[in-house]
Amino acid sequence: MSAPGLFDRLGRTASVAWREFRQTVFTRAFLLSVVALPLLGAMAFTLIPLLLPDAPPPLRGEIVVVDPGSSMREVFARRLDRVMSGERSAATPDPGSDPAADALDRIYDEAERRVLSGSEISVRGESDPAALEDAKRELRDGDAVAVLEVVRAAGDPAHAAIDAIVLNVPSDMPARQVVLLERLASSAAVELTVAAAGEDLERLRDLLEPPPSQTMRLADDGGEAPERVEAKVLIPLGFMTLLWISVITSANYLLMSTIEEKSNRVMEVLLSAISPMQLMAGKILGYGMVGGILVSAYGGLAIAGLAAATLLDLVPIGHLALFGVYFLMAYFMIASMLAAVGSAVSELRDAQSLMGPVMLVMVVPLILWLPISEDPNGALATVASFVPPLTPFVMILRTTGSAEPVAAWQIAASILWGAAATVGMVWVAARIFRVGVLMQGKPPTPLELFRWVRRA
Amino acid sequence: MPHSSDDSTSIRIQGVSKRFGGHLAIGGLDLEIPRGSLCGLLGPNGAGKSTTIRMIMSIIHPDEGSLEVLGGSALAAKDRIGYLPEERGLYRKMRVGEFLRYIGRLKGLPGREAARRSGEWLERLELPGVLAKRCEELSKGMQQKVQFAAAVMHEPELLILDEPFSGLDPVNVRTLTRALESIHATGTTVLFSTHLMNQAEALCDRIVLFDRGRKILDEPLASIRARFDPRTIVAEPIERGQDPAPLRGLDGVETVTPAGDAFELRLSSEATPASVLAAAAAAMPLASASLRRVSLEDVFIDLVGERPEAIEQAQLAKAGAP
Repeated sequence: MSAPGLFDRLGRTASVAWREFRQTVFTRAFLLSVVALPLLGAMAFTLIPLLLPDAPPPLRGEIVVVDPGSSMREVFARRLDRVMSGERSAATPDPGSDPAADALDRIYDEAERRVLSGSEISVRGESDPAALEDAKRELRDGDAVAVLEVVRAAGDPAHAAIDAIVLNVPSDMPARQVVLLERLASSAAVELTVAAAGEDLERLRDLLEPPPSQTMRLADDGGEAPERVEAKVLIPLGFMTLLWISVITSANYLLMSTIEEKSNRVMEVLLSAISPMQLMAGKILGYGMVGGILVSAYGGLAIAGLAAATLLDLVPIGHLALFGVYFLMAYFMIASMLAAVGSAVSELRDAQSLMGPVMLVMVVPLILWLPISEDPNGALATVASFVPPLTPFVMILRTTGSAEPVAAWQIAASILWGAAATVGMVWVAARIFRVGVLMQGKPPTPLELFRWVRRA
Repeated sequence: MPHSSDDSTSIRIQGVSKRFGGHLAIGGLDLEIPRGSLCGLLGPNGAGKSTTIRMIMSIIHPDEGSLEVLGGSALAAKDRIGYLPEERGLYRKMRVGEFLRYIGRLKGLPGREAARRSGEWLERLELPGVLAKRCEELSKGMQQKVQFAAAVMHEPELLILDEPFSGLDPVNVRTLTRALESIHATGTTVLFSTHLMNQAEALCDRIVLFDRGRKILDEPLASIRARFDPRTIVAEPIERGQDPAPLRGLDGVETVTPAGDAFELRLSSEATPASVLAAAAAAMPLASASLRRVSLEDVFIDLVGERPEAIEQAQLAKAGAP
């Protein structure tokens, strides 16, 4: 056998990468916690109506409305019919309305309809207050479903204001049905009160609806772009959170795997077959693929959610491409740091002391999220864009959230500078890894790590 | 490299020293392991055996001196070397077959060939049916044999084993010994460290003895036996309580000392053992008479002196203590 050639060496690195990927991804724990949960979350949105509680026993009989003014019966009956027929949930949403809000409304209406599913209810009106006691007796005897008493102010009952409404129900009526009848009675009373004042309820609603508004940001160069709060704050936060979680999770797997190989003493067996560099490269690539799975799962879910809410325009394809670049940059930076930490310690608890500074750095992007979202082109954002390993996190915040585009030269410079910094960090990590993987015993001090870098 | 490699040498070490902090682990080591030999590295704990092996494997690097393995660096010859480290290591959750295939691929075997050899070696090592088991489900001895399979499955030219028999029961020691002998019979150079001197005596054709970081013996076993020949005949009379006087009068016998039921006859430098054996048998009816052979334990104590820890180590090794 001769010394392995380049392709052979790459093949062995790929073997390491595939083992790390396979041992992590094809496990029940990973599939459940990382892939299944977000997928379930996505499915839940569409399956919520199916997940709603079973319908309570249907109501059969009369609801007696005792109203000296007589008008409540008709309004209450109309509202009851709308719920029972599912008229609102089946309605086509208005063009231009908020799709997400419409979807939620439909789910809510469907839930209400289920509360009275299978019920056969008629509404009988009584204008004589003396009929109240008879109606209550019917209720106790099981002949009536409920008794709604309308208390009016003194004066002509037909025009007197409604002072109060009292809903009487049997002792065994489920709470969900009680709540629904209460709501229908209250809304009917509001409608009657508005009508008594000579107004139309729908008209009043329209009057209270704020007109469409739009804020435009005018740039110095003459350009203008609409201001959208979700685009300015939430979308960058989403991008950065996705980057942060996928990078931290996959790099953490790498840390654990390296420590496991050291504590299991399997490292020497591996190093009798491949070089430390091949091993580290294989591990970084393998967990990079794990990170790719995480990004696909969570990112895909987010994009599906945005598509459902017709908000896909908030995530142009250019942002996705930049995310890909910054993901690779962030992953290689953080993974190389954690590979170095993992190689330098023999036990997980020893890693805590070395992980402290790394985690401190990792918290910075979370702290910077709000100030950078508020001022994506300010001095803080610009300076932080060129401080590795913050570069990819800060740049993703800036590029996905700024109404005024980040200067192209800054994006290009951040990619070039970030790539150079990544190479530097991987180089330093490789030198630590080469010495560290064969060391046992107490973890090194920062000074010793520095010596390893120099002498490796 | 000061010397160019030749085909007759597997490992060449020249002037190698290694310190760990203030402790000299190996000092000024020169060593050549011929191709095709089965060489045992012996010595008490901390003598420098594992350090030497790890330097040969380029896992650690010497402070001074040079090493040549299979004509170059061990790093360049990884695929031609099989290595079983002293610290045993397996992926606990990985299945045995998967682990062996993985190591096989890292050693340059194609996937199918690695799978075929995995099964073959597990059979040879009397581990049938463990292919699909997780490593953590195996006993310590079984795990050790799996690691042995991982070290040899790519058919290396040079096999380096650090304490391969440590912790094994006698049955597994025999299984591994047979495997080692069959590998050696194919021309593979085998270098292994052990503190079990009887094991080394039975297996090796060459012995390297270490003590406190220094090589104190490096010779073929036959040469050691000749050099340290005690020139002693052990004669056991048929009847107990015999007077040794007839033996004392034999030509070529310097001294006769009782040793249990037998007598030890120390020969003069001119005497030939065969003539003294014949004369002893004629002088007294003997149940048995044999030329005493030197043991490595004797050689070890002879070389390192009467240090209590060395004697204790040699006795433990003779008793087969792990």
